[in-house]
Amino acid sequence: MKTVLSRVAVAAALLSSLALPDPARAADITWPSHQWGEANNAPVMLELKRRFEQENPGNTVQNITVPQAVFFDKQFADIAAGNPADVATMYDPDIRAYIEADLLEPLDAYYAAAGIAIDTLIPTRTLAQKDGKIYGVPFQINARALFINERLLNEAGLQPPRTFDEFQAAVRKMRQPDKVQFGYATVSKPGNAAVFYIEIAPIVAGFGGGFFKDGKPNATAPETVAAMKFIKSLHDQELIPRGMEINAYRQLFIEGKVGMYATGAFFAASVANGNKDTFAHLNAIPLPLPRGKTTAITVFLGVPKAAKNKDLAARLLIRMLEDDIQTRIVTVGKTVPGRVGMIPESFVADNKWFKAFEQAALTATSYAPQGAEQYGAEIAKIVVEHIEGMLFSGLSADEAAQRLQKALDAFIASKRKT
Amino acid sequence: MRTVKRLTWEALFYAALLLLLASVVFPFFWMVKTSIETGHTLFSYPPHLLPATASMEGYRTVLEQTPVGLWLWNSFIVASVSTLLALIAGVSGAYGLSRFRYRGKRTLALVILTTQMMPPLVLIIPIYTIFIQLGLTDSLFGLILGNFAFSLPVVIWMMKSVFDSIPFEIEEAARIDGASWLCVLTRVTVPIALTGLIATGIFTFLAGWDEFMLARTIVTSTSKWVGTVGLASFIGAYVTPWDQILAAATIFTLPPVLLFLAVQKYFIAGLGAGGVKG
Amino acid sequence: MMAARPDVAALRDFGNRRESMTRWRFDWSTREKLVPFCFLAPSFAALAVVSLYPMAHALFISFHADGVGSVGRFVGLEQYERVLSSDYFPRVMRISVLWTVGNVMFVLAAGLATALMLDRNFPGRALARAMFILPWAMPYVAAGLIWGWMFDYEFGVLNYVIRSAGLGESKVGFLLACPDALISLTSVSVWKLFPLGTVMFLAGLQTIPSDHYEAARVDGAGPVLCLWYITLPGLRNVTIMLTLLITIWTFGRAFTIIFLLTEGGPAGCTETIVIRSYLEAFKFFHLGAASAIGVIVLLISLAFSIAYLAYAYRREVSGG
Repeated sequence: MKTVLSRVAVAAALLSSLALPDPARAADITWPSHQWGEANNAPVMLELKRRFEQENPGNTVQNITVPQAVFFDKQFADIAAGNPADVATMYDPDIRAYIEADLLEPLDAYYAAAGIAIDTLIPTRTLAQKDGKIYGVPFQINARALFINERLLNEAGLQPPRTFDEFQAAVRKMRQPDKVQFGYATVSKPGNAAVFYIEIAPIVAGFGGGFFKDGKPNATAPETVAAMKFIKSLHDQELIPRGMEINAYRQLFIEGKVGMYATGAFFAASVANGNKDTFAHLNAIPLPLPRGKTTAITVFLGVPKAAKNKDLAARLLIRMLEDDIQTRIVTVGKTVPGRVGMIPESFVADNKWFKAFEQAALTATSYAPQGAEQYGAEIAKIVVEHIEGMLFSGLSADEAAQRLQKALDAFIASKRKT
Repeated sequence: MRTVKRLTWEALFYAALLLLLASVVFPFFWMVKTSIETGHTLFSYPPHLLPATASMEGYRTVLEQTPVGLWLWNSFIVASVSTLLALIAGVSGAYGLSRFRYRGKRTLALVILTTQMMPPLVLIIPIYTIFIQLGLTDSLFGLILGNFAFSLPVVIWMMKSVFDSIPFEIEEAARIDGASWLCVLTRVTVPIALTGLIATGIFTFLAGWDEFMLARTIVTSTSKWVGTVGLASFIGAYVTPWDQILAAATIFTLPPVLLFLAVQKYFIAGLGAGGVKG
Repeated sequence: MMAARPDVAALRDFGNRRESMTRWRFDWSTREKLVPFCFLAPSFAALAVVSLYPMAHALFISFHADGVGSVGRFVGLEQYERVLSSDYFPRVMRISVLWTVGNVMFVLAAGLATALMLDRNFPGRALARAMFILPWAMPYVAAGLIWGWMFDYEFGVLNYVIRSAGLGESKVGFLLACPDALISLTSVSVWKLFPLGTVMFLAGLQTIPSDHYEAARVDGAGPVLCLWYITLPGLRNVTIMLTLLITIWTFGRAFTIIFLLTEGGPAGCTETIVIRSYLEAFKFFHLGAASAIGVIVLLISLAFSIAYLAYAYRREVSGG
């Protein structure tokens, strides 16, 4: 019976795929996203969908789940083929690149219609702005703070580190090779340049450095080099799990084999789902690096210019900024929403680890290269190539920084030409 | 003396065979072993060479919470139909290229081959654009068509070389008896080339089974996901549940293996080789 | 009793005779010649839509500036200049060539060796044959995942085996240095691909008439001579076809294994031209440059194919 049904389904799919497009009727907003598959975000998005459909009868929101591994490539393919969905999901460098390529619809009118002042949004909203217009809605900001496993800290007789020296001591003390236990984990495997860059960004910012400053390459600045030296020392002294990709060492933390890990608030949900014991001992503190600065990824949602239901999609996105959804982003999504001041006190009281993220979100800067965000993907590749050279080919941090600076200079020069 | 020499050769032969078999099978064994255990045992060191627990948690989650059966069915339809079409069209094309004399035959063969030469990633966006215009997106039919077109050149080339290796005395004999080319092809040549045909068929099936790039680009509805896309969906944004993804990967590897088990007897010397060997 | 010295000249003749046998001595009528192509015509339509038109489109885009969602302005050969004079191009080409040569050599060698072994009759042969299909049957994503895990520096089983077997004290960073990473990746790729070689060689072995072997043995030829003068010439067509196809595939299409395990790292030392084309297209949004890379790959593969086929079939051509 099942086979017959599926064969009928295939035949129907076959026929429907060749069918003519539906005549105009109430709109069907297409929203493909990998976040429909994320345990913390999906319920929030589904609630938004439900309320929007209620308030706009006759219109539906199609929630299309796309595997995270393929989502961004598919989104790009859709846009490049002239067939974008109605909602685009973009991180910091992506939204800038899309804005520069004039692919997004300006949303100012919709903000005004809903009475939401743009300066009530989180500071990283500037990434979505150009020439006085705003082209996106910030869904959530995932600032980096330091998750700690209090059990491992207690076993080593440590207090949560508040200074850089305490942090280094903690990393060393919790490293136990025979138990394959680590004090800290960060990226140490050649692979996805974007992920690599995201993981080292908070460390570099924490030293007060940055690969770009005001649109100019900044690799040889003493702060940046200090950060690179620190990363190299972690790696060379085998203080971090080496050669593991990000999902693997995250899992390692969940399994209680890593003492500290810097990432965004969303990770708490993964810990809660993965290992009850680790979650019971989970806490978070600001990342204790010399300059105390941190970075964040902001997830933006926008409406492609060539989308079929621009008006409705824009209204859907603005709807997300209303109080009810904003609170849900905190309580259910367990992360910081796009409007400032939306975090309920009660939630922070119940989830002590969240405080560090609330604080971090207020001061975090975007992880994308400052002043050259739209080139983020290419810059990440160049930076990561040189960092990999430092870690895996035995270059010193100074040497790597010199070469990186040269490469970045050449890159920016080539951009100025075209 | 000769028997001793023969025995040492035999021993060496079996040793080499076992070594080769071990290196071939080990990753598969490791995949199955890790999929049987729980996700928590993944980070135990030293690693357990035999399954520490047989919890099968990954399998349970996959079978209960994901439409893995649907994915396999979709993969099967796409792979088998595209293979069938490619074999029918490809065999006739290969026969023409192998047996007949045309001017510009070499050029034609080369043009067919050039379709394999561009990195598919560069082509995927133009392909996607055309598929959108033809209304082939989000359909298994689109995938079948795409895989058929991807495999056809390979089938033509592989079968051409198989046909080229077959001395055509028998075909000549049949031809002299007055058979049409279609008759010669189906009654005489194909049975002789059966092994090559099956090998090509397996290749095409596996290519369709394993195809990822087209599938992930043109398919949106979860009801049309094929196995490769389903497998990729386990790689999460935050964590990858290893026991689940490896369980799904094991499930996804089994059908082609079973398929090969079914047809591998055709590779036995003498069987299906027709009247040429022995 | 010594066997008579094998008549090497006669054996060589066998090989030559087989080749000439593939040249027909009569022709089919013109009308009949068209029939297979009538059969093939609808397939050509599909090929045109899915392969030829997109290739032409890529060629078209390669002459324009990068534009997303719309074609940029016409810039002639500027994209090609950009690609050919870039920092990454020489490195990427060198790595692609190394990668391709390594793959082809080992796939052919392993495939042939395995086919010869599996052609003999021994107990459990059916099972052995079925087992050899496993790497091929495993989807690339699964193979990438499990090999990546086996290669892992901290927890991987390969490092564990090496240390337990006493073959080394420190752990090996399979994917963490060059040329280690390229060697590891080639191993995985060969592991995945050689069953195709095995299967095609097995098929090819079936077409060699057994009376050739009989005759050779009567002449006193041992296994090595039989291999050299009967088997290898008999497998000529299969070998040529496989070499050509595997070279073209590995050079211009191999992606998933490298992508999943190193994505071109460390420090770009496993970045083949295919990986670079992916980065240019999907990460940097440079569709024009990516298309130019695609065309360059096509031209190189085409040049190789023409040269290789000319060399491989030179005897047929000169033989008249």
